[in-house]
Amino acid sequence: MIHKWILLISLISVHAHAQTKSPSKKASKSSSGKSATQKDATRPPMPNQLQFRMGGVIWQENIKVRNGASQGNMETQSQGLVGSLAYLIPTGGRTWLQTYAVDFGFGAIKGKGRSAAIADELKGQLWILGGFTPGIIYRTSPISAVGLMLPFTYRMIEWKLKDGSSFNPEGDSSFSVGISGAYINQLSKNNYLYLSTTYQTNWAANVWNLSWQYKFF
Amino acid sequence: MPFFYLLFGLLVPNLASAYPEFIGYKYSTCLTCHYNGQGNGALNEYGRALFATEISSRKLAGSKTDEQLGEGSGFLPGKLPKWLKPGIKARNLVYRPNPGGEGETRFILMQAEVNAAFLFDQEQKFIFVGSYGHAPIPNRIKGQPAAADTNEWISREHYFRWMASESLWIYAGMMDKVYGLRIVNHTAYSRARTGLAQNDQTHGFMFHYIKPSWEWTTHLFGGNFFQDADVRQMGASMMYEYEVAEAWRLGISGLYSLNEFVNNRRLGIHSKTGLGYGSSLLFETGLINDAPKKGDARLGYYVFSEAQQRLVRGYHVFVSGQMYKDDMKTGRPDLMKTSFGFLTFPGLRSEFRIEIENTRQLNTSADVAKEGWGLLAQIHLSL
Repeated sequence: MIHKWILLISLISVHAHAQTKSPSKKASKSSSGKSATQKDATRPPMPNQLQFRMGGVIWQENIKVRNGASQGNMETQSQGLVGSLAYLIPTGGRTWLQTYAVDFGFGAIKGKGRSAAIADELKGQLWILGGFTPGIIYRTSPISAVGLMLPFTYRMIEWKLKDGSSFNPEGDSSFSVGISGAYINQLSKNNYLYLSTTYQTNWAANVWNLSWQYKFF
Repeated sequence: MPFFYLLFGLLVPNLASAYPEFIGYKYSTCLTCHYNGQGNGALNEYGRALFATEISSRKLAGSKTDEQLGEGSGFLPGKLPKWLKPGIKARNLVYRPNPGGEGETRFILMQAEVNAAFLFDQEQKFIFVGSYGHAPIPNRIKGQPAAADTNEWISREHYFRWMASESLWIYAGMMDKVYGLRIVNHTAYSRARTGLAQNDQTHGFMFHYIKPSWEWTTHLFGGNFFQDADVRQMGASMMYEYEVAEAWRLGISGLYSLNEFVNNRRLGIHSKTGLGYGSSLLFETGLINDAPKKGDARLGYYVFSEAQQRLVRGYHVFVSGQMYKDDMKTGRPDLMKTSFGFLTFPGLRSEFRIEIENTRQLNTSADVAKEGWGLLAQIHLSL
């Protein structure tokens, strides 16, 4: 029956001629091909890789602030650039890779107090960060992968306040451990698209990252 | 078992959406699987068979072969005349704002409808497709006077399709407007903010010219005839898609429509790319110009992007990023929506999608609006 349908569709759609494949044919094609394990056995081992990544990040977090005797939280938003140098080690064939990355970044943080007691506002305050991110990457196809990482991040904020201000935000320096999910897509031989979302537990913040990644070797 | 599906479908949820993501499976045009060459609406026989044999998981299929699954993918397979292709579709959404915190979980029956395709000849040169079902009153107008004028029982599509030649397909009737990537997420900025959401169909004529490496569609419409004449958006839209390489299509869309209150113009470009097997990248961006007859015109923009990754047969993970600004004037915020989730087809006729969505605002002031979180889960069943 299914072959009749396929025949019918192929009669009425020129585009289908070019684009569609019989589901059953497709299934037989894949079943006749080598399994992933067989293919792995016949290929040379995957070499270690060194990659560089650079992209934008954005997140929001609450930072404790004080103004005189008053204290509270200020909702802040951080935007910036983060770069990483990652070393990848294939583990158990060509599907799994360990990754170890050193991270560095900078950007600006802003926020505004929401209470009458602390109505101060901050803009363009510089932050810098550094960190180390171990993780594991699973290659879902020859050109795509997903990853699970554990970023350890240290950040400093260079608060610049008006002289004599009693406003005092915390977070001059802070450390956070996160858990990160990543999606990596190969765009060309050495260029990749990298998307990740990270929950930084100590900052209670979700960091979104969109980066371009380059493979040195 | 069919009775169970029927009951469950009526009580809870459908599979009536277009998936440009399936370019990852090398299906770059919607005509392959849908009666409507621009996607959405009922699946044709090939689409049903393909869904059963290639897209959906085999975990619940038991010992059935792919061929057997394909043969059994129709509605009451083998028991209906060949000219009649009915279906039942239902879709239910569970929405939880601020998961883990305060918030009320909402259950929304978004769609519950019957549909049918009538094939007037063996080569399917002439067919009629129609649907009728329940559409809940949108939450934003519940309890307001407008709710009284809203019909909860509607037909989202009813049209004749004529295959004038192997390349030219002509449609007449009610259907979705042609514009951009017709994605399943009707709350995406690229659909909701452009006036192309789940209840924005229109009556009109659509001309779809299709070649192996490109396609052109023109849609002339007179508005939704079920609406009052003064609010009907009348106009035209177009879309052109070109296949740059295998599984990579670039497109451009335009739309102009007006009623007695506002003129709408949209212009967008998009890209859909298949990666590996079953994975895809989608991107669309465009301008939104609304010019009310009274008041100032607004010119905004939108961006939609999505990366979808096939994990195993029937299971995908996706990440999406969106931007929107209603008016490109200083002081107006840019809205940013990021999300990730799972799109699964656990068995024949079924779909389950779960997504965590994060929204935030970008602006030039120091004020930071609290970010929003939402958990969305959808169950679709299709008979």
